[in-house]
Amino acid sequence: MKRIILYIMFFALLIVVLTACAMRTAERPRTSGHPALSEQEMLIACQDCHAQATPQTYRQWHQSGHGMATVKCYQCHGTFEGLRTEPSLDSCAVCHSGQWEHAEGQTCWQCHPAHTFEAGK
Amino acid sequence: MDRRDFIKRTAALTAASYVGINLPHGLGNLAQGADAETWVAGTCRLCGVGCRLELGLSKGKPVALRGIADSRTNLGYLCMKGTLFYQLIGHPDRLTQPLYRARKDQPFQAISWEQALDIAAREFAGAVKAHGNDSVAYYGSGQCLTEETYLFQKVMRGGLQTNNVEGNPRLCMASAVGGYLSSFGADEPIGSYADIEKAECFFLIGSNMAEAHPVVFRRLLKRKRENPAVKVINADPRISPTSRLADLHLQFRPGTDLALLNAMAWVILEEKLHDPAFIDDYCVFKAGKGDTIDLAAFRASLDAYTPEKTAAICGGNITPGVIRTAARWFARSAGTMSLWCMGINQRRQGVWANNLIHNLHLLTGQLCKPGADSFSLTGQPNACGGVREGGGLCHILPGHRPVVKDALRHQVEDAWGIPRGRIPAKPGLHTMAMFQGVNEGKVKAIWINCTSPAQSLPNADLYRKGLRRDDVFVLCTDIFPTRTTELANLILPTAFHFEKTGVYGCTERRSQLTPKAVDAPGQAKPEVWIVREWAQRLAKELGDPVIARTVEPFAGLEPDAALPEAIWNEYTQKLTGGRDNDLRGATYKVLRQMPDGVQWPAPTEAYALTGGTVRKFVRGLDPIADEEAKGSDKPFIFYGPAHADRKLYIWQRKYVGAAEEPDQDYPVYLSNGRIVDHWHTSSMTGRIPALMRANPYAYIEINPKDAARLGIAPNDMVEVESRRGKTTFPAKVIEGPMEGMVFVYWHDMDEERMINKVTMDAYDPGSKEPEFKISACRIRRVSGPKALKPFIVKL
Amino acid sequence: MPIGGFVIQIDAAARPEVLAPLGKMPEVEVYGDDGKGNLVAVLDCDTSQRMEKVVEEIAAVGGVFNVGLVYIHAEDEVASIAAGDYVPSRRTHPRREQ
Repeated sequence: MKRIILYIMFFALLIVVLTACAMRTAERPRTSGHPALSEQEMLIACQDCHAQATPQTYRQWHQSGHGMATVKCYQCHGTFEGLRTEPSLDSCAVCHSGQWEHAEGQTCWQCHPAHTFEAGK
Repeated sequence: MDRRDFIKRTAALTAASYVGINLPHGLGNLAQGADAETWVAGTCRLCGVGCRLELGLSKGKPVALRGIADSRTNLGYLCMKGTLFYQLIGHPDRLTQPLYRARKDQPFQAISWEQALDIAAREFAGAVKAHGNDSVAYYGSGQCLTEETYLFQKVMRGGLQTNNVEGNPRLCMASAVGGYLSSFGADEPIGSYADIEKAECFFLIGSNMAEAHPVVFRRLLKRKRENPAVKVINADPRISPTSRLADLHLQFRPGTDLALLNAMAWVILEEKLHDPAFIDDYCVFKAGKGDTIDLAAFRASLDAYTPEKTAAICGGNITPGVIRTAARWFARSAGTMSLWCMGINQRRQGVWANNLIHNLHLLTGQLCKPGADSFSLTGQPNACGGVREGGGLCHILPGHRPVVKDALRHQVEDAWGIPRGRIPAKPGLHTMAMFQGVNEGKVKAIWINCTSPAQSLPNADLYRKGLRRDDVFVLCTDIFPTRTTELANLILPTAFHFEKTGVYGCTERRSQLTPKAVDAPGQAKPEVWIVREWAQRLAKELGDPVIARTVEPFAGLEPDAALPEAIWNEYTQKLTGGRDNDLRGATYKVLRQMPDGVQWPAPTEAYALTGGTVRKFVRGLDPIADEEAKGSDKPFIFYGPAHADRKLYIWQRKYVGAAEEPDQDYPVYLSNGRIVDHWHTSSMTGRIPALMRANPYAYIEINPKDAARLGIAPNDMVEVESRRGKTTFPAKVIEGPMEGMVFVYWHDMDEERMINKVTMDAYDPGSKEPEFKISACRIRRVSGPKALKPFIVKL
Repeated sequence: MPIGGFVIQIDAAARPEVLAPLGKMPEVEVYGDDGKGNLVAVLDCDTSQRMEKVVEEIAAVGGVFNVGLVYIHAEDEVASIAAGDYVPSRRTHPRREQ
């Protein structure tokens, strides 16, 4: 395979050139798709905004077993910093590892609609 | 997810798209799952539910927790706290070396363990020599392993000859202990969580279990959703997330629940919903301090609590009709399970409130059958196992033995091989008296282990003053800096859960082992090692070989597994045989084999391997009941150690209000409690970013009617002031607390948001448990919304 | 501290035997596979030279046919080379070990 170091030295050269052109490399923007939040807004619980922002999803969750049992948004989707629009099955497995085989390699929400998690289709 | 994780994820997705792979299972590490990742079974570190879980290790580092589906406590479920506490292992804030300062206004200096143990021994020995044995004290925790509590109290009682052994369960469970002992003659619930799946009616009172015990609540939720005919009654002055499950919500003026419970008893007798056979066979009626009365006298005493009179006392939404409905549902169901927690226990009349719940079960025979139990929820993972059973309170010795009973005290002295008379016959200082003793300078040296009384005591500022005294030596053993380590002279860093080995005993009499899986950071040590080394130095300082004898059986044992096992063996084999919490069968060997531990009584290993006793006192289910049944033709044998007559007591207890009722100056009821994302003083949960993000600071919940009257809008800053202090919180305007009442989350350690600066330190005369849950305050809007920051104490 | 995304081509029948040693390599994380012998892995190494070494170690595992780099992120290393803080050793040919 090609030498990793050659790739990197090429990029280093590029940087030297770019720096010489007085360009600055900025932090890449986040790509979770969530609108940017201020530090203070990040301290608001997800559901407090989403009750208005995505009322249907909020209602589905709130009336579900998860909503009743205070299993909150961040338990599956993470907090703003590590937001996963589609949760990792690992976060389901924390409580539902017993259903692993039953899932037969599919995601839970392929059969149990996301947020309501009603009985399978 | 941090930036590096994000880059890794991008790298993986790019590589996956290159060969057209849809990455399965989110982005877990397959190779780790295949081999390097090991899972170590243990018990949750946080609340009293006792969820069984596995700690996932990748390359020796903790990376995850997951529930164990086979476990009879949690059926695989975990709450978010239980999912994330692995992040505290190796957390950058961990205390990692002994820290000392002679005076409390000095900065801490790092010292060696040799120096630290010498100082600890010198200070405690010095106090004993100059001021007597009762000038030293140990204040422990329902979060210590049983081995730790047991060894601490052994050294304090058998070595330093003081019963000044207490723990924070005094602040949460003492009234439940008092209730169980006075009503049933035996501490701890008769039934199990397994009754949840059999119950037809739940009576929840003084408990927001949806947040405080979320996993047990999920079992109730499942039961109710799968069987909509199951009735749920929730009695609470506050509408909480728990109330969403309720068919009937009883909202009463804080403190009037004693009247409400008496009224339900009145309806049960009036409508002949009681079980005369159960009462005849097993119960006697008691009044005052234990005078026997008859049913007629008991019934006559309830005439002050007819539904009509009681509705007037209770206020809120209580009508004669709802009282009758609640009583009928309770009595008529095939199995009624009551569950309660701090709303009942943290009260000046906490023991009586417990008695009155038990009364309903005794009158109706809703006990000792599937789905029927009077079941007290516990707040801490080892309040039951370690502190209640292991001798962690000033008046009890290991194995549920009252200190004052000579014969039982001598059993303990004999088992320890120390002279009879070595353990004082008089109980030591209970928690509130202990910290009063600190304030007065009577307690000269106090060891505070794994708890933060500077934040968790009611009227906290008063007791912080005492802890600041320079003539009181304060030693803290902990894993993180807290409001209490701020007041310490000596801080000893300890190993966290899964960094040491030991047993937790949860709410349902279940003992479960958590083994060491990772090394503690820096120089942090298991408490059992610390106590042993300290005791050996104490013996030298005081020239007292008996002190050395208390730890002699454990000399030289390595502290990670052999030492705790030897301590557990001594406690269970020598001190639980013949007691109701017989744990002789629950050896480490057995506990290692069980997915979810063992419920006592479990006298033999063979029996323990069946899981132990699901329902106490029932012949055929409880080996002690079988043994004690000689000559009896009855199915239940109530052999509890506190009732020699083997009867259950139905108590006549009148309604008495709170110690501090609202008045003209302080017109509002103040209550407080937990939220789902945080635990206790948040010294642990506050250090888990996701939990802190989800609930960054305490709020004050205000009823919309009160908010409108006082001009308070959501997020306005509201000052709460009582006769003891004041604090300021952002407002949540919510149909939660009833009108005339506010509710504050108690975990926040910010100086401006510590609600215990305001709460009341009156306590129950029997259980000595303080009335955290009710006091009088006044509230006012101080400003509009302010940008607040989450806060955690740092070194 | 470069991060690389790799496709590791293996003998599909020997998947467990390949995953086991990879699981023991602290810098390697395997994120998934297609069951046909393509593994997706991420390497997180202190230096690119270290990463090359790890690639060699992976290639030496029985059942591994090829280790292919698909994505490389080395912003910080690039920056330190550019700033002159880090001078990689100038080997122009990979050392062959027989």
